[in-house]
Amino acid sequence: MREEQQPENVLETDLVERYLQRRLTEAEEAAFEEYLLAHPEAALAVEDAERLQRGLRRWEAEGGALGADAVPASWAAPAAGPPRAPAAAWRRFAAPRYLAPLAALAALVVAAVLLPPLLQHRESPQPAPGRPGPATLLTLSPLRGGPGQGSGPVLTLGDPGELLTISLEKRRGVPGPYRVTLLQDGRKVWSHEGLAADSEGPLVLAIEARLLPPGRAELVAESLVSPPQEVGRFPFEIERAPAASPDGR
Amino acid sequence: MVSHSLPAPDPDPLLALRELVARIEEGSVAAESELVAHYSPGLRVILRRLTPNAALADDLHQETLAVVLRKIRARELRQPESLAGFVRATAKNLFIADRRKEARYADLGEEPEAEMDRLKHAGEPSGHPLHRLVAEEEARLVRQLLDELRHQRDRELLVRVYLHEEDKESVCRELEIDPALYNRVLFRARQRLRELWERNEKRQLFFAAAEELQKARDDNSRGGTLR
Repeated sequence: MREEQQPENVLETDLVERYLQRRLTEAEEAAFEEYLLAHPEAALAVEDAERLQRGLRRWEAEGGALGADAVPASWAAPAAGPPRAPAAAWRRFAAPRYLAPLAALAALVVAAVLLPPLLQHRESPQPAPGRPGPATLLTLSPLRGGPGQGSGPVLTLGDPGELLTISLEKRRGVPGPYRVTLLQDGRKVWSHEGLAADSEGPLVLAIEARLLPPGRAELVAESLVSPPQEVGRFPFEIERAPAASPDGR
Repeated sequence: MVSHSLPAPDPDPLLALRELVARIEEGSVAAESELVAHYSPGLRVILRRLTPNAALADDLHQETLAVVLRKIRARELRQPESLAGFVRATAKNLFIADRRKEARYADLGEEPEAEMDRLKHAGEPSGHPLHRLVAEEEARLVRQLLDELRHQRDRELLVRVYLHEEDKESVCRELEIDPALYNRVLFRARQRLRELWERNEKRQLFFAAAEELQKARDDNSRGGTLR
């Protein structure tokens, strides 16, 4: 049992932000919410954090930026070093200006060429060493099985910087906006809200391969229209291709 | 992941809580108001998290407190110290009941008019003019807050945490900062935004009151009644 802390100290931790990001376990969340009820000043701190988040979203939507010199090198170019934090990489490609043309490209490719092999959830081609491979298109459906027999398709990824286009065949008729959460072993790895898609069509995501950790995972899509409801759960498995040897073999 | 334990309940607040419950059981309206005032902020946080629909959250807020007060008046709250847990559980149960009701309406293909209105405006918090004004004001204060920050690193920290929802470990690693500094920057940002917001509210109240006073004076000078 940790030493007792005064309420002010609790607010000086990152508990508020972890609550906002939904990074608390169920038990932690229950305890924190009871604490909020009993301590109105803590609830005000959460309100301040929510206001800060809303304000920053609007600031960004209005073109706010920190300036080039504030952007770390790992954000500006595909990193060869440690993987980028999931949310930062995510937001580069989940912004509406990327999703719309990527969704259109995905639809054209599927209709013209790739539909039959995609029905079998093909694996991604392995890019030649030193050369980026084509963007991989993966269609996931909650109704389909695959090589994993209920665990979803198995996707082998090579380059962590590889761009994947994932089309989630969500339940139709439920309007957005949507939230997509990646779960692994029942725990949230990352989540992104505010995704737009036609209520009758798939939800298309464009993400870097580094955001998909190896092993079995699940993408959960939810509509955020009241009441929030799940519109699809898409299991899959990620395998990492072994690194190529320096001579390319 | 670092976890933080919450402080153990202080004996004095528990005593005050038992007294509050006892007063409500005896019919004290003032005590009921105290309970509502005390638990409303936390309850609103919980309900906002459950639903983005402000109208639904407001309804559930009222219903939750109504149920809780009814139970206390009927002397059905056996353990006053578990009041917070009871309020939370009641809010969640009412939300689930509301979802089930919506699902039934959806299955029947029928939507009561009120539910249709909710669906229409769900996820559109900026639809109402007042909401738009509030959103604009929030954005303006956040811009001011960002401008006030001395270090670019601090601005970047706020963007990473609140906008990109990155976790503490990766932010500290990438920005090469100490976890204690991380906590401090967030705490100060929240505090400063609260100061700016309250100052802004006071200024708006001041100007609204000044406007009312001027209007009353104008009415008076034209022979109207000064209230």
